[in-house]
Parts: sequence; C-alpha cells; structure tokens
Amino acid sequence: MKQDKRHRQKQDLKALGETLFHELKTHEQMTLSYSGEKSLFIRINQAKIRQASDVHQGYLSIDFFSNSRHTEITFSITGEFDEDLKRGLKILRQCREECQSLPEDPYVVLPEAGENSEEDHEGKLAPVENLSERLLKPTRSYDLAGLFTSGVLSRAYMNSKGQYHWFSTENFYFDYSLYTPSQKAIKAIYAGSDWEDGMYLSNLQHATDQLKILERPSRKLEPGKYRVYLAPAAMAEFVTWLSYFGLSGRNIMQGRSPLKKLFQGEARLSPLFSLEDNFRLGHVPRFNEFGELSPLKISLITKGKLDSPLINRRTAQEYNLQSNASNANEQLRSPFIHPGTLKKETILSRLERGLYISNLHYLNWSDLQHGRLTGMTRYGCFWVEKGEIVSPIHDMRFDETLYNFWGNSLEDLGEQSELIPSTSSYGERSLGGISVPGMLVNDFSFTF
Amino acid sequence: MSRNLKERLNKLKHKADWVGIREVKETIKSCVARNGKLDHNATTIDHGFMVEALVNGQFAYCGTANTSDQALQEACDRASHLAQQMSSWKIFPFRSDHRPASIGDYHSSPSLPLNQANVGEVMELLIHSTQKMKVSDKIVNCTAQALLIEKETTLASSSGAYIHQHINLVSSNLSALAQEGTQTQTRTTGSPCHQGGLENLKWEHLESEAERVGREALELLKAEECPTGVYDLILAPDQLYLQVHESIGHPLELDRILGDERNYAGWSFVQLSDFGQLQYGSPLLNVTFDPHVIGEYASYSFDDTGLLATREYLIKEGVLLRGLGGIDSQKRAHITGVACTRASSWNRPPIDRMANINIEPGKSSFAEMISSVERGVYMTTNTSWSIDDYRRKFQFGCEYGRLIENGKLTKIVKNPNYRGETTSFWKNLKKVGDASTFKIWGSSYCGKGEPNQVIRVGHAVPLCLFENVEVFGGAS
Repeated sequence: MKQDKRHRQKQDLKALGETLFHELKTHEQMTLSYSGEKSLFIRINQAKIRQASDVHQGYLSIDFFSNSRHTEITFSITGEFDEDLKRGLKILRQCREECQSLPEDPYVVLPEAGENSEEDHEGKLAPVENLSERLLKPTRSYDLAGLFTSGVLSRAYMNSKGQYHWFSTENFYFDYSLYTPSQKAIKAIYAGSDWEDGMYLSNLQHATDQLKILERPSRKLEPGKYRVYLAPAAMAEFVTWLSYFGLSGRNIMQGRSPLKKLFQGEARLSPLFSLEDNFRLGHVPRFNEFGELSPLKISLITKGKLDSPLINRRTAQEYNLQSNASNANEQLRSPFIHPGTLKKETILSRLERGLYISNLHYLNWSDLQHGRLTGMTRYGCFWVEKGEIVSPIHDMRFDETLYNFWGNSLEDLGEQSELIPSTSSYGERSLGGISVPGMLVNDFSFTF
Repeated sequence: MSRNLKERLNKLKHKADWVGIREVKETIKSCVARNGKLDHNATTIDHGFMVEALVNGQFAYCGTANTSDQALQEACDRASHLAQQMSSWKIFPFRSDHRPASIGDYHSSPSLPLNQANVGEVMELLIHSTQKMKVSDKIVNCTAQALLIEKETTLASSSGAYIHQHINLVSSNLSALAQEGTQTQTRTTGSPCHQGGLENLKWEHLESEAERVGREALELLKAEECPTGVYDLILAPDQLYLQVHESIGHPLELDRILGDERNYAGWSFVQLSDFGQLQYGSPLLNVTFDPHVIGEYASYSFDDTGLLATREYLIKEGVLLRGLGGIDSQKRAHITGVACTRASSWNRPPIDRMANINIEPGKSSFAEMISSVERGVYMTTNTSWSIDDYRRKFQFGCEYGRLIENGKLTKIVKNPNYRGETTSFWKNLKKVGDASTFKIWGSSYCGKGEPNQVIRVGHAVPLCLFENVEVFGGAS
C-alpha cells in the first residue's frame, strides 16, 4: 500500500515534469526540484501534550532559463495532477515574463544530461493511536519538554535534458530534555526509522540516570582558560557554524570566511583534525540543485590542511575553479569528522581537571576574520577533578577561535564518531545529521 | 484566496467542540545584485490551510496545501482525530471561548503596491546600487538585495470569527566588503524593513546609502581595533533593536516562562510572579507592545487566534508590567498578556511571538548624549549576537564604532563588541534619545518553536546611552 502510494507520487511528478518540459520553446530550458513531507509533530511540556499538528506539504521549484536569462519560482503543490499542472503552467508563463525584463545571468548554470538515481528508505513508524500513551506514560514522574516528530520526507529533481533523481525516507525523532526541580537539564534524542518501545525506554533510562548528577549543587567558575571535553553534540554546534560560513568556496573567494587564513596557507589546524562530506552514510540525497550526484566522499580538511572548500558549479564558473558537486548554498550536507583515540571510558581520566561540556547554545561569530566563535554552555555540563565529576556548573560564555580548539589546543578526539541527527524544521523538516566524535581541548577561553 | 471561507467552514462535517480554518497565501520575491550584475532572482508562492479542532479540551492542527473541499474535510477529520488522541495527556483544558469570535480586517495600505512590482526594474535599481558602493578599488565585493513580501491571511471559525488581513512588506540590504592585504571589513545598511510598498525602495535613498556604506567600509580598513575595557556605550537604533529583541522581547514571552520552549529556544529568567514587581531597567525605560505603528514591520489588527491587538506597556518607568503571551498562555498562567499568538505560515500552529516591541522616545538629543560622555564608544549596525537560554548573559558585535572622548565623537574603531547581563545592563540606561533619534527597525528572521518557525518582528527605538559596559575588539 505504502509502495503503491509512493509509486503513484513518483509517476505523477514525472508526468508533471514531462508535460511542463514539453511546453518549452527551443531557446528555453528548465529544472524542477521537489520537496515534500507528511509529518506529525507532537510538542510536549511538563510531560503533557502542549500542541499536536499533522502537516501535508509539497513545493515545486522551477528554475527557468531563456538563453542566458534565468529566474526561479517555488510554489506549493497539492498532490493532485490536474491542479498542479494548472499551477505549473501558470508559473511557467510568469517565468517567461520575468525573464523578458531581467538582465542576463553572467554565471548561469544550464541543466545538463547526466546519471539518474532513485532511493527509498522505508521505516516502521509508530501510529498516532495510543502514541501519547507510549511516549508519556514512562515519563510521568519527570519534568520533560520536547518534540516528537515522524513521517515521510521526499526530494526529487528533474530537468529538461532528461535527468531524474528521487529520494525518500521515513523517519522519526523524539528530541527531549529532562529537568530537575532546580531547573537543571539533560538533553537526549531518540531517532531512527523503526520505532521500538524498548529502545525508547533504554534511551530514557540513560537520560534519567544522568539527571541524578545534576541534583548536586552547581559551581560558579571564574572567567579564564580551562581544559575541556566537548561531547559530540557540542562539537556538532561548531560544525554547524563552520558549515554556515566557513567552507563555501564563494565565501572564501569573497573574503567572508573564517577559513580564509587556512585557505591562504597562513594557518593550519591540528594534524588530528580531518573533515569530509560523506554520503556513504545515506542520510541525505546525493543529488544537488544542479542535478549533479556528489562523489561518495568529499575530503575537505585532511590532517589540518584544507584540501578544498565546497564549490558548486556556479562558483566554479565565476572563479574558474573545479566544482566538487556542492549544493547551491555550498554548505555541508553529510559532515563527518574523523575519530581519534580517546576511549569513552577514559574521557574523565584524560580530562583529569576541567569541564565536561555536553551541549552548547546560541553560537555566533564574534570575529569572523579570525575564526572566533562565541556561545554558551547548556544542559548537563560538569566540573571534573581527579578524573571524576564533582558538580554541575553555572552556564558560562565562551569566546574562542577555531584555530585554537581545532588547532594547537586539540589534544585528542573520541574514538567513535556519533550521528547527531538534524532536528531543524524551519519551513520543512531537514534531513541527515552531523557525524562527529567528542574532543579534548586545552586552554579553552570562557569570558563570564 | 478563498472568497467563501466561511461557507467552506460551514460545509465541514465534524464532531469537534470548535473548528477554525486559517488560510494563508504569501508571495516572497527575493532579488539580489552583486558587483554590477544580476546575482539571483527568486520567488516563492505559498498557499495552504491550517484546520484547528478542539476536542475534549485539546486543540490539534492539520495543515494542507491541497485547496479542494475534499482535502479540507480530510484535514478537519485528521485534526479532530489527533485532538481526540492527544486529549488524555493535555497540558491544559482549553475551551471554545478561548478562540474569540472577532470580525474585522487590516490592510497595510502601500502607496505603491507590491503586486505592481516589475522584477526587472527592481533588479536594475539594485545593480546601480552595487555600482555606487564601489567608491574605491579596495571595495572588492558589493551586494544589494530586496525582499518584497505580500501576505494575505483569512481566519474563520465555527464560533463566528471572520478576519482578513492583507500585508505588504519590504526589506532591503546593501553590503560593501573592503579589502587591503589580508584584512577585510564589511559595512552594510543593516537590513532595514518596513510595512508598505515599493515607496520603501527609492533610488534617491539607495544611492546615498550605497555611497555611505562604501565609504565607511574603507574607513574601517584604516581604523584602530575597538579598545577593551569598561566604557559608556551609546547604541544606534540599528543595534539597539536587536538588544531589545533578545534581552527584553524573548524573556517576556509567556510560553518561554511556562516552559514550552525549554527544549529549543530556552527558558527565561523572568518568573510569573515578577510581573508588576520586577525593576527590569532604569526609570527611563518604557517598552510597549504596539501593533499600530504605521510602517512598522509587524503591525496588525488581530493575532492568529483572532484576538484583537491593542497597544500595551510591557515595561513602564523600568518596572515589568506585562508579558508577551496570547490567549492560550494567558489562560494557563492566569495573567494578562497581549495579542501575539502568531504562526509563521499555514503549516505551523500559532505560538507566542513578538510583534512590534518598541522603546518609547525620551528627551535627549544625540548631541546632548555625546556631550555628556567623557569616555565612551558609539556603536552602530549589528553583526553578531548571542545570549544564553535564560536570556541573562549576552554578547553583541557591531560593524562600526566611534570613540567618544571628552564629550566629542573622535576616532573610528573596527570590530566593536560588548557584553553584559540583562537587568544590570538595562538598569545602567542613563539617557534615552528624543523623537528625532527614534527609528523603525525589525527583523525578517526570528526563530523559535517546535516545530521551528521563523517570523517577522518590528522594533522602533531611539538612541540610548548606557553606563559601565564591558567593551572589546577583535582577535589579535
């Protein structure tokens, strides 16, 4: 039944594309990008239901080319072929009109023929019936806030040169935090494709065990430099910010990247640090907005040296560079940081004296040119002495350059990279996540 | 938009205690030029319905982009079923009278409506702006962008509400990047945003702003680093608006105080018992929720639950009076609030959001303010912001600073930053600018909520002077 529906959805989308492509004149070309989802969201506070919503949505983006003139219009579609075709034809007319008044696009990237792809990842999602009971009955004695979401996400690409890509996945996550009476918190996430009550209960048990340590009185630390262990979720925050600004070839060429010094060879990161975009993990589509399929692995930083930034076809054209099939935003899609040698059971003893930081909050560049980031500690963060947790800490602000924490001060990385799922849902649910180990860092600066 | 949303609602078959439909159609045009050429031209046209159903005291929502009658009935069925399924674990027993039966409309009355916009002409304006910014060969990258937004919302409910609101919005930004050797500095116009039409995108204004931005980017290349130490600080409206947003707006949101946001955006240091009691800032601090300022980005007549929006003091003479919470939060918290339950679009349920949160003008002119400072820094145009999840400890960075020495503006300084703690910072407010310094600002991108929602907010503020602030510059 599920496969039948998906098959029909794919056929309708293909037929819609083919009909629209058929309308093109000889000097016109077009790409279509589709993004859709059927998602259930359950928002929880105090281990009770605050809001529940169920959303069916689909958007089609037309990239229209009239010789070297180019415009893009995205519009919501209904899933009903006749209505969507009517909308598509109207948008096509609008694209033509806009192109008549627009100047030429100097770096236009025209669609090309190329390989096709199709990926479907099915899951076993929990039905809505009795779901509130399954989620909340085990949490009755806790103060829990969070978001449960589940459903199917689809992405597709077609162009007037005949290229076609499809990706769909069914998944869920329960992103939650647990609170002590004194308002200290632990963050946890249970995510996957197949919901299992046993796995959920075990995830919850692990989080509630950690909560007990938070009951100890908090320590207020003075500003200064501290030895720290940053857990994978904290490390993922750094990678997110690096992705926003740092690795884009376009940003680097325009002098707007914190990695400019690395690019120019004026600085190096630690030989322990290697970063790649790794599509072998299969969490996100390999195709981009230009229809290209990424290599299974794009090495970006190897042993502290920049191999290549993320470069898409448009940037490649403008700056005469080699594209590595990056997406339109030149951001990481499936980041993976190579693990080190730090064993989980020796984290505290190797830290010896310092801060165990589980999560970070609200990062921003405080000096982009020098790669300096600021932000706050959040959730379960602890003061460690003689290799043992002594107490939780009051939240602190850090202000530190990536050339320090991924450079000279990086002592070791965890021996396993952990997938931190992306829970972003602005406009639509995002796909994938960030695979990172934790890291041990000397001399990490806190301000107040 | 449906001309007959009320009739379509009346045709729905349901057993819910209350049903509402919110229809949203929004068109966003984004035009970007760079270095004298077109960079990007894109439009998004979004249209859909959110059906809200109340069953056994639980509201639930179902959103659909399918505008047919059958899809609307299915959405109503799914919302009712979801509410039923969730109701055994509800956080609060809501009632149908928690959705007002308001009737009315609101139009932003643009002089030059956005549906008359010609993208070619807008792009030409932006291309010329990038050319004007290039005042020297050291200006290596110039970007000009415009965001033209037309949004129509219709709300109808089984208790008789019928509201139609039609809003035009314009936001723009000019950005010049100067480079000398390995150093780069960026100066922008800070993304001004207004409710209204194309009258907000005039060449005369863009031309002078482009020249200023280019010139000031060059000045920053030669400027000294902002000093480190404790200084008096004067914030221009294009920085102060974000200070208000992060350290007054967010902590006053009732849903944060009630804990709904704890798992994502965070909690608040403000307690429910603080309203009417807490000395939030100096007696010069007067903050209003004002949905009726003409041209401000988040003006409206009704929120997305149908509650009539009225001007209210949030902070008066420094004392915290009222929170930012719509009808759901007001009922849960048993306190008053404002009409601010808003959704980013048809596909998200409404939650407590800022709208127009303003500092009322004071009595000081800019000249008086400067002349009163012996050792200070004047900072303008936000470039970086960060604050903890209780909204206590913040750090901001600006694009452009000037030292104030012995009552006079002197050297330009680059990479000016400051940090502080919310209530002690606002208690150090020593002068509030008069009406001549009062400017409308806002943001298109305030993120919050689970599932995530981005919403537009307005902040109109005067210049303000703060004492004893920790100031610092860039990394050496």
